[in-house]
Amino acid sequence: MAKIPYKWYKILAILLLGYTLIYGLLIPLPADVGMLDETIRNLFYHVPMWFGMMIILMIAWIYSILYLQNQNPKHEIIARALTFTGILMGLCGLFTGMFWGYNTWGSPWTNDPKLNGVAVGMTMYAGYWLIQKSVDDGEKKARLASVYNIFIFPLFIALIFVMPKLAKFSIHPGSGESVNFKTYNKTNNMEMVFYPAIIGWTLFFVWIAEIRARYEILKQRKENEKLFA
Amino acid sequence: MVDDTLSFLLIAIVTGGGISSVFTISSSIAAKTNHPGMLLPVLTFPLIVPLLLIGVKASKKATDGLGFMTSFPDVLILLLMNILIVVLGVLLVKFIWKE
Repeated sequence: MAKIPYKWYKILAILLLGYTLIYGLLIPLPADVGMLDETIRNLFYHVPMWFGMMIILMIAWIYSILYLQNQNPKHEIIARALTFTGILMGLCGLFTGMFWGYNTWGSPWTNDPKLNGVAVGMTMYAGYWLIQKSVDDGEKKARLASVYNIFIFPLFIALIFVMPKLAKFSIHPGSGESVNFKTYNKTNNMEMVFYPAIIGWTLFFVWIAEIRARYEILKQRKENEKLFA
Repeated sequence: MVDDTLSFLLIAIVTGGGISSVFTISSSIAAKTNHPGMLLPVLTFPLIVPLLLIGVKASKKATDGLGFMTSFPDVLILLLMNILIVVLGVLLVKFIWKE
């Protein structure tokens, strides 16, 4: 059940990531990218991480709802694997963003609404991890963690999408009244790498989540066998 | 001194309502874990940050007497978040307390 029956998505992920990694470095830049210069190539790593994180956390949210609806323990295992992968993806996005910020703004962390929103959002998901660690009973743990996951996802969305829009001054692109990538991208050839990069990275992390979920299910089965042997 | 008392009161009520409904849900989750006292602030603090930030910004506007229309969008967002939290809480609380 946790195994995705389509093998081709792994091949697609490898092909798209290979294309992103190679052509992302070769692609000619738009004529005027201002102070961003060559660092604009980080667009193919930093931004897809956040897009993919949103997609993966959303699937995890749906699986948490499914678990509460029909109490199938496999749904909870899938939701947990997807949420942890989403957190990993968020951390990757955070670190690529810090490299980018270090090279363009001069500091890895600025007191910006978007950055602080994401930091608080990651703390929310740290709470999800803490619930997993501080309840012994398996069924109760699954129930509480699912409830918390359903509860935090809309607030997380509010925190990272609504809050930066409300803030008037932000140096992070895409929030408040700051610059957008539409401002720079005159020739549109960066979008030819950008959209495949989103799909590629998302599929790659779905692959990680799938392996994780299958491992957890096998571990559960082993424990059950030991219990009834 | 607060210049615009009525809108300040409205913002205070809306923000306080949001914070208390978040605390209701997350404390009922924390009560079921092994370390409720330790887990409650950890689970709740990140959830009340968006409410607090918007509430503080809106009440600053009310304190300066900028008129109700300047803080109206903030009140609207706070109200929407309140509705979201209360609806989620009402739907989820039976799963938390089920034994």
